[in-house]
Amino acid sequence: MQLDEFVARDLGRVQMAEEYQPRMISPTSVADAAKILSELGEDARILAGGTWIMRAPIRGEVDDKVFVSLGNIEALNDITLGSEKLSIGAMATHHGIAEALDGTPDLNVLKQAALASANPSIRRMATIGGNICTTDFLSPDLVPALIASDATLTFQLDSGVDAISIEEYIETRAARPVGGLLTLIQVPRGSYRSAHQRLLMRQAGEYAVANLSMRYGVNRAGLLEGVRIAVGSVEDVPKRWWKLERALDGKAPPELDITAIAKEHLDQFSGRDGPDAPGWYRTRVLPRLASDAFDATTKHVH
Amino acid sequence: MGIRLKINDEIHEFHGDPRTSLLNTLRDTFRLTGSKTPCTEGFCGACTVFIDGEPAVACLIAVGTLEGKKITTIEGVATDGQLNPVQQAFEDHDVVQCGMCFPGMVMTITHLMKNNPKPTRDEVKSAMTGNICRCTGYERIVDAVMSVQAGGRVAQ
Amino acid sequence: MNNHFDPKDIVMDLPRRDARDKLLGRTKYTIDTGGSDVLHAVLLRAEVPSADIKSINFDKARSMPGVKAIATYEDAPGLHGLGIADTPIFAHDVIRYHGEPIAAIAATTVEQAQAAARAVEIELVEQDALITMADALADGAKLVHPNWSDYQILFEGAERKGNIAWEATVVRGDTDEAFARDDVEIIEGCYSVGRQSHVPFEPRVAVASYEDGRFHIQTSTQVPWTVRHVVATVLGVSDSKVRVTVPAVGGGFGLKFDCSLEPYAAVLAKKTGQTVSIANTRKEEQMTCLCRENAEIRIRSAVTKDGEIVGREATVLMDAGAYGGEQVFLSTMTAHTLGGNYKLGSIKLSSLVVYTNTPPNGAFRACNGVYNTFALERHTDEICKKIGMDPIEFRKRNVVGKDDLGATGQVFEGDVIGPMLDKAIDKYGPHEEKTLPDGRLYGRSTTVGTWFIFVGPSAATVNLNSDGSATLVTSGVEIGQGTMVQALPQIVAASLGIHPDEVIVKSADTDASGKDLGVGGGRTTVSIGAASAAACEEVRDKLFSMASQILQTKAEDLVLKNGRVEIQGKPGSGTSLQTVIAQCEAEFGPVSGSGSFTNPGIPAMPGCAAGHFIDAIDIPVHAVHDCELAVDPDTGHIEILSYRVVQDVGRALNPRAIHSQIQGGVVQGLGYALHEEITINEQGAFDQQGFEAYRVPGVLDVLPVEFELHEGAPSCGPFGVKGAGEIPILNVGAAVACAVANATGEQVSHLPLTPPKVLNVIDGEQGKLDFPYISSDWKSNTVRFS
Repeated sequence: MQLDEFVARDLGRVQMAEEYQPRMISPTSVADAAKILSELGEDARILAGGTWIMRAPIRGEVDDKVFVSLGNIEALNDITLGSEKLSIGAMATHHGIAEALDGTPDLNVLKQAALASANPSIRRMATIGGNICTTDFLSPDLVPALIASDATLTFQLDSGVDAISIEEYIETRAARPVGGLLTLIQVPRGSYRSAHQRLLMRQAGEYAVANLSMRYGVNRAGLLEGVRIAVGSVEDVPKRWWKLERALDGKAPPELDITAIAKEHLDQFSGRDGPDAPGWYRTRVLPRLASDAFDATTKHVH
Repeated sequence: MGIRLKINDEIHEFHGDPRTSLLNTLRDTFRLTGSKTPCTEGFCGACTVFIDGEPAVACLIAVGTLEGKKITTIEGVATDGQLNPVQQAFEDHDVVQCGMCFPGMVMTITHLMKNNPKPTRDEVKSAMTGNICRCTGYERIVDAVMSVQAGGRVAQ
Repeated sequence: MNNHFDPKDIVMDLPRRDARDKLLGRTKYTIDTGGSDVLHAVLLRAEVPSADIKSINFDKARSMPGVKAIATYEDAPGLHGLGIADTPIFAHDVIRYHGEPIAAIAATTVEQAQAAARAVEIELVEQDALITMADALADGAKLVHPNWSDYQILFEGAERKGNIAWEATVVRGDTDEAFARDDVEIIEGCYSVGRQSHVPFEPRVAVASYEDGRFHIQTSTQVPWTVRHVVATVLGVSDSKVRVTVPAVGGGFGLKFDCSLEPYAAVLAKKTGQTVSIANTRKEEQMTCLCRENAEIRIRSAVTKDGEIVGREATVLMDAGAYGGEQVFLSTMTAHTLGGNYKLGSIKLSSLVVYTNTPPNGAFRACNGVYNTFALERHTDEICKKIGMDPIEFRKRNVVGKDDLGATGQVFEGDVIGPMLDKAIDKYGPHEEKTLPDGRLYGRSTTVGTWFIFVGPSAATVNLNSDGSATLVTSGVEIGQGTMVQALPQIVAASLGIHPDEVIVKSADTDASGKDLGVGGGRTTVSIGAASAAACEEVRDKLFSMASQILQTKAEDLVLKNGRVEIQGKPGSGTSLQTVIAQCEAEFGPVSGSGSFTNPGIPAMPGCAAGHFIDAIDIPVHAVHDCELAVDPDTGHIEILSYRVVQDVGRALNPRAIHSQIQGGVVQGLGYALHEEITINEQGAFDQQGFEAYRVPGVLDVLPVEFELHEGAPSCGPFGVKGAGEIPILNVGAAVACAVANATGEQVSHLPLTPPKVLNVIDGEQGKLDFPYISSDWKSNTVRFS
């Protein structure tokens, strides 16, 4: 189907293809959206929650790209909380996700990340898809939470469907071809404990200077297993703190001095300097963040 | 080929670029200047409106996404020029200074109290983290809000 | 014939009349002007800090859709400034700062104007930029203003040289002798502060039209008469060709104490024949903010073991940015702040205003008083540490009081700081060591401060209306502080015996009222209040004169009360105000009175001060601040546990409004002390460009400020009033810094104390602050004495 035919159908009117130059297109299905994005390529900007794209002029990005709005695709808003997995549509908002999660420990990391980000209005608008796919946004909260939760992403391309782990996606996203559409995020469930900590300069209302997500299991012997720790905002891209994970796996929780152990493994990170904070500060606070996150895994989130 | 916007229970037709922010549309096209533009990046909250009853910052909404949605601005909160209980409390406690942040404050607190008629001081403050004020130092605003629940419910 | 009324009648918590419309979103600020009636203008701004302009081509821009006019240097060649006329409104052949306006473009929509700006072709040759004051003062540094010596001097008496735009010095007594004594300790320290941005929610914005050969400018300003004068100067017309009106202003805090966007709107209005609106985007507002300047200070004192300060020397470097601006004037205030608070045996001070290739700075609520008080109180606590004296005891012994000399030799009138300090100790208790259960470090401080009320010319007219109401006409502007809708109508009402709701307050219009220095510096209540009170006295005289005839009673026995002219001691006697007014109107016409006020002028010691605009302060105003806080040693976060204030108000006309100013001002001060940081990169541009990175306090960052109003200190203000709006911010930097020093046991030398900076403190880094280019030899830092 040609783009102009689609638009004509969308508007319920017949238009001459040459005359019509839509500035915004609002498909109602994933398949339609994928087709349009594939056709438009670099000429399209995906409009999810709007909280990033609508600030383009402030960033000095002046262009005339077509907005492809995902707001009319019902399927992308679904959040299904099952016993084996959590499924989240890419257009679910931070607020929607926080509301849907009931405080069971394995998903605390995600709930805390969704609850504390930015400010109340932004949380009602900003989507999980936007949080994951916006390469230039250096301080996402949901991304490290999803990495710690071993999430899988599903993309719809014009040619078909593609599934990829969030870790792999985050590492490769800048190089991926334009045109795919993130549709679904799935998080496997289990008897884990988890938490998300963010460090700000004020008490609220800002992006994290550093954040840390943690999820782990406790085996029958009472030892830590499957420790996953993801750190965000410290470097350009969130990544796992595998050195600390390795150091904690197999340890017994009660006597652990997380701060001290974390200090020994700080060399995995090189903090980025930014207008919000210097790099050395981001790494300096990480051991404390790790310790606070661990303490928080033992508390419930309501 | 316009976008039909339902603003404060009135239908308006918008014929401009659908990528225009709702904030600019309200102020420039419809001359509803009560929503303010201090930051235009979603941090200050002075452009807070309700979309289907839920607070959102108008500066970051593309107006083309609003077909079929109900938009409420500060101009639509008071009925027949009667201040709602939140506005009345702010007036009674004489907390307004330059006034630019107050439309957003009123929207946020009105929404809070509709769903939570007796918030704690902490709950009020948490709800206000997206509403910045440069003049007042906040505490007297919170004092005024805490006085509302003693007097009765907040109107919708 | 002056039967005075009781000033107590003025005092009330009058609610503000403009709250309702503000709450409904109905108030129209200047930024709300728009629609199809106006053209929209934008500024083409430089994106490098220093360059020669080789050529500019506007052909493409001019032909773009919607473009109506373009204005450049040729349209407005005049230079303006304070003290020195060094400031053009458009860059001519040289760019001196990132963001400097090069041209102004008016179009039908703002997007069209922005597109046209992007289409302008400029050829620049970039030059080396002086980003820091150290750069500017280095040997062989290039000159930001090669023609500095050709500039017109507007105020005589200061030294200037090269990149030193202005030097203000104070010399009283012999500090060399003091420092040479064998019974003194010498304590020396260096302090530095970054810039602070006002962030008024309404940015600078102006709307101009050219009607009947005159410019009419509607603008968000604190200073309509300054706007009038500067617009006229730069456009080369006489002042009377410019009219300035001011609607409700969405915050100022001093940013709008200067002419800013008005000349651009004016020149484009004349060119297009249409009304032109120009507003800063938030990004422009942040990046070209007339900030509280960054500064560097070296201070040293000779102190006896009994805590007597026998000598003090200090050098302050004030960053003006690319043009002199407010900093030229503010160099005067070092003497009264850094040189204030304490009795000094001898003193030498120099304030050097330094040109750099950065955005010009300006005035922000208590200006350099804020950082001078920080440096002074830090230095004072360091002195106490060195000589082993309790910091409160030291202050008690040394604060100035009745008949003591200020830095410039003025004689203070009353004991103010002393009793305020006693009040604070009494009410807030002695300092105690505390251990916090969560491992955070506890600290507390008590600091004192001195600022001044910025008096100066104001005029007022009061017109009596036949229905018994009165109209007050001044050039006062309501920027949010409430004075125009509270204290002023309260004064007029009490004077005339009517209710404040019966006093109409006319919004500022330079065609309607007399000259006024502007709103800011705490001066509205004092200067405009005094002018208004004087205008009322004239009205009272006329009313009593007529009423005495009508009532056959001596004028001295009459009072104005409850809308009547009554015989003193006989409530309900006499006649209604309307009757007297009607009789006046019948016999000699409508009743009005006018009044004016300017600074009385307190003498300083002759020969002490050079390059000062204000040698001695007419109305000092003081504060005592007490702060408790907790420091997280891992993250550097600070939580304020309590914040308590004793404020010198003279007389509190509207105590609830003063409470609001204290709460708001302290919070703005917490922003300065803890959160608001501006860093300047190699492009001479601010890294913090909006609300995301420039952090003003949010609701969770604050706490209720406890306060006590200290009344009765001497003041030549009307009814003993002192302004209350500025001083709440003065001591916050000092209070927080001293409490952090006490909590950590380490030297604190820099503001803001953001979390990374607090970790610097804990690591002992701030004690090492030193400025090699500010010598301990005071004379060698000056132009005048070296």
